[in-house]
Amino acid sequence: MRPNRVISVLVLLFLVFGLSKAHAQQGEAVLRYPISSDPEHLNPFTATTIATSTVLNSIYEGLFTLNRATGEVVPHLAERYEISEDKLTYTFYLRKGVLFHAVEGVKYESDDREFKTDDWLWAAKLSLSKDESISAHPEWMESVVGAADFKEGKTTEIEGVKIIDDHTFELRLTAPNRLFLHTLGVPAVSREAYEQLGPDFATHPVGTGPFMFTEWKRDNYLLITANPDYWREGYPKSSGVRFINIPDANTAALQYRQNELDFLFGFPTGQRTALVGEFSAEYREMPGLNVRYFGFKMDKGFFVEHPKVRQAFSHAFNRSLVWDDLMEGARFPALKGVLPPLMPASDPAIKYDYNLERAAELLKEAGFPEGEGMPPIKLFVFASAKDELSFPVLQDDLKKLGVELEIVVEDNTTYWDHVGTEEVLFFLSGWSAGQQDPADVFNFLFLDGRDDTKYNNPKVNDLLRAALSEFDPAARERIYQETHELIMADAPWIVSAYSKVAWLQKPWIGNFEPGGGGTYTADLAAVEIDTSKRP
Amino acid sequence: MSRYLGRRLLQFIPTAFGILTVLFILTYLMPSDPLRAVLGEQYRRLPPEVVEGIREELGLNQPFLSQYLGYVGRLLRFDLGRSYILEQKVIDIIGYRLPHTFQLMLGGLLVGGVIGIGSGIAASLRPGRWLDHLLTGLALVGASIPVFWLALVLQLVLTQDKYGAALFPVAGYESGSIRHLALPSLVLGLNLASGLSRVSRAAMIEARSRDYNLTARMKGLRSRAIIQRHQLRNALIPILTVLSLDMGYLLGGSVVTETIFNWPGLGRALIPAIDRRDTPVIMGILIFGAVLFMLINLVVDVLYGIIDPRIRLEK
Repeated sequence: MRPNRVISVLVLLFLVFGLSKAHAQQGEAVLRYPISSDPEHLNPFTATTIATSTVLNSIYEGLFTLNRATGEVVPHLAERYEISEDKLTYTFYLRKGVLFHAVEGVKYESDDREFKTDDWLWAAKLSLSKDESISAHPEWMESVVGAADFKEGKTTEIEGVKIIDDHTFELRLTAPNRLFLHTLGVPAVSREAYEQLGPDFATHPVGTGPFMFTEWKRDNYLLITANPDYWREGYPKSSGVRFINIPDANTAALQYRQNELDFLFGFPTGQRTALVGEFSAEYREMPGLNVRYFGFKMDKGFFVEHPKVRQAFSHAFNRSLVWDDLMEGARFPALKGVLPPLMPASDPAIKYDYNLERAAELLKEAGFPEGEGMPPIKLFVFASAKDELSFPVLQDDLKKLGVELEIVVEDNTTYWDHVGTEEVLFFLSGWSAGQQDPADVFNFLFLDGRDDTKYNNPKVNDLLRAALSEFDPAARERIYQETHELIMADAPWIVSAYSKVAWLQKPWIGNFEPGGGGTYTADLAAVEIDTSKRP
Repeated sequence: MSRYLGRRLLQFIPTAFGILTVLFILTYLMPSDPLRAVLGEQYRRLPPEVVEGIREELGLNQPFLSQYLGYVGRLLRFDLGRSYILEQKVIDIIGYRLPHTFQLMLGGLLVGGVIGIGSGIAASLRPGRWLDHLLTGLALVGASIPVFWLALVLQLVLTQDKYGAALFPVAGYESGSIRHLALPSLVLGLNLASGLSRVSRAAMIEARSRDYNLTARMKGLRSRAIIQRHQLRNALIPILTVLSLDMGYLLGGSVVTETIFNWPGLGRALIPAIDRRDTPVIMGILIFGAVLFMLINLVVDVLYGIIDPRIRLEK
């Protein structure tokens, strides 16, 4: 073929394919929501990541939701509930007329799609499956009497569950647990879909939520559309959500600028200030529930013997320089304690401000004047945080005290495997709390030495157990305050930063209100789009 | 010809088996516990006995040899296994992504081939003159520009109203849309063009020095016919070799382009799988890629014989 013919064919193809496909989505009230990675799958029983929750939050519902501002539980599919005097028996009254999504290929007996107590019980039993490939959430039901025996296969029914009628049931707990409603995560899942779709259920979720699963092209987009039978009058406010997979933050920013997206959730490194300046009217931020820290190994090695060295290091870290200036405000510098500032008891009396003189004194008291006699210190860091400028600043600050710090960057999987070993005594880490409750930090990171620092203080353990059965919020806050002071005195961490939930949203978007857990916690059913303003 | 093909295809078996063994040993030797990656943050929330249960479930507690033999056994039944993480069969992961990767590969080869071979030939016509210097200089610049930078510049100039003209979408894949394919193809193609341009130029200059040019001219052929029928055909052998290597590169090496342009190709499944130690996906994609690459090589070898009958396949 001659070159000019090749060119004319190309031009023809361009006209046929190119122009016909342009701007297919204009005018529809479908949210264009960027995600940086795909959900692994869409099975609520095995979902463990933020990527899956981002989508599943709009498809499945539980008996309760969280108030995003206060972290309190709010009745949702349970219309109301009662707790017995002894705090051991819970009675739930299900909302009537809640329907599972009508989906092609899923048939219901006498076309009855209503969510009832036996649907809930089926899901609760499935969550206790011994086969971990079926359920990764034994914690949902673990406080209920007989859950352990059922899981072990010793019984065929869960002893502590009593079905009263189609819309009422009772649960009996092994011990009072004020967080029970928070952990009772059993969602309303269509049993018919689970059984009839087989392996396809993992990619074709069927729940009762405001949106129905429609289409998924992996690493491209995932589309959910409004559920016409949804029980909340007037919801969802939009006709659907298109989750668009954009792994590169820079590409996402370019798409946002071209109005190809309604939100921008990640800021490319080094462009934060510029983008916030360019779109200042569209910028939103709020404190988050993630805490970033450098952990000391507290069961073996150098730091166990030298609490004053740990305290000295905590004083010798210029958090404000890192997070306010060098990282352009990506997080809040941690000027208080180990708890994110949204939580109760998050302001301990013992704090570690940036004070090199005090740090030098502490080192001297520990027997290492001007760093003399200190062994070489290695800091282990995971690769996805390698652009974070906190560790070079720490390295520089420690150098002023005469301490040499070597930074070891490892790919994430290697790092996570390595961090539990004796070789690692000092490491960068982080934790995302799921709710605004100190228990969600303390119980996972400071109880019984179960976290990578192996921090294990019997007094702290006792206090944390006591707090779990303390139903009075004020008394509980006092316990957590005391716990927090003990932990701060022990200094098992250099607390580095608290997360900032920050994003850009276009002016035609309304009612997008995420919680401290992250932008993925927003109720997308409430989000409004003014399509007349969207170009 | 058919005997040759049969023999070559038979040779595939030991080669594929060798690749498979080496890959399996390498993935087995990868440091760290795949479970930590499979479970993510949940690993820290789950009690140890649950974690051990999952390990048994996935067969990760078995010794090397039994894991290896089990894998080979399943592979002989064309079963590439299931992803630890994605609740999907590996064959489905590959089947979904391969067409996207092929589209990008063809787009890149088309752009790279037209620009690279075209500029190489143009430069070879008057070696040492200004056009030659200009084109070789451009090829050098092209070879030195990193893909991500070129992609960014093209995105700024060709997709942003603020900095240029929004002629193309910033990124994304739409079935059958040339507009979406254009920019990633251009980035990949320009990257390939510099190498192709230099090889084409050298091969053409070499072909021009041969005696058959003199014969052709004496027959009274026009320059254009000599270039098309004699020089280009002779120069095609090294060009084809480079093109086949480029195809191998495009099969797995276009991850950066795929990431920047949200292109759902094979590379974007492979890299997260490596990060998260999703061994069945890593093995599946790499073995599939290796077999495909062997096939491309076979096709190229056959093409050698068609382009230049002096190359006899039978011997």
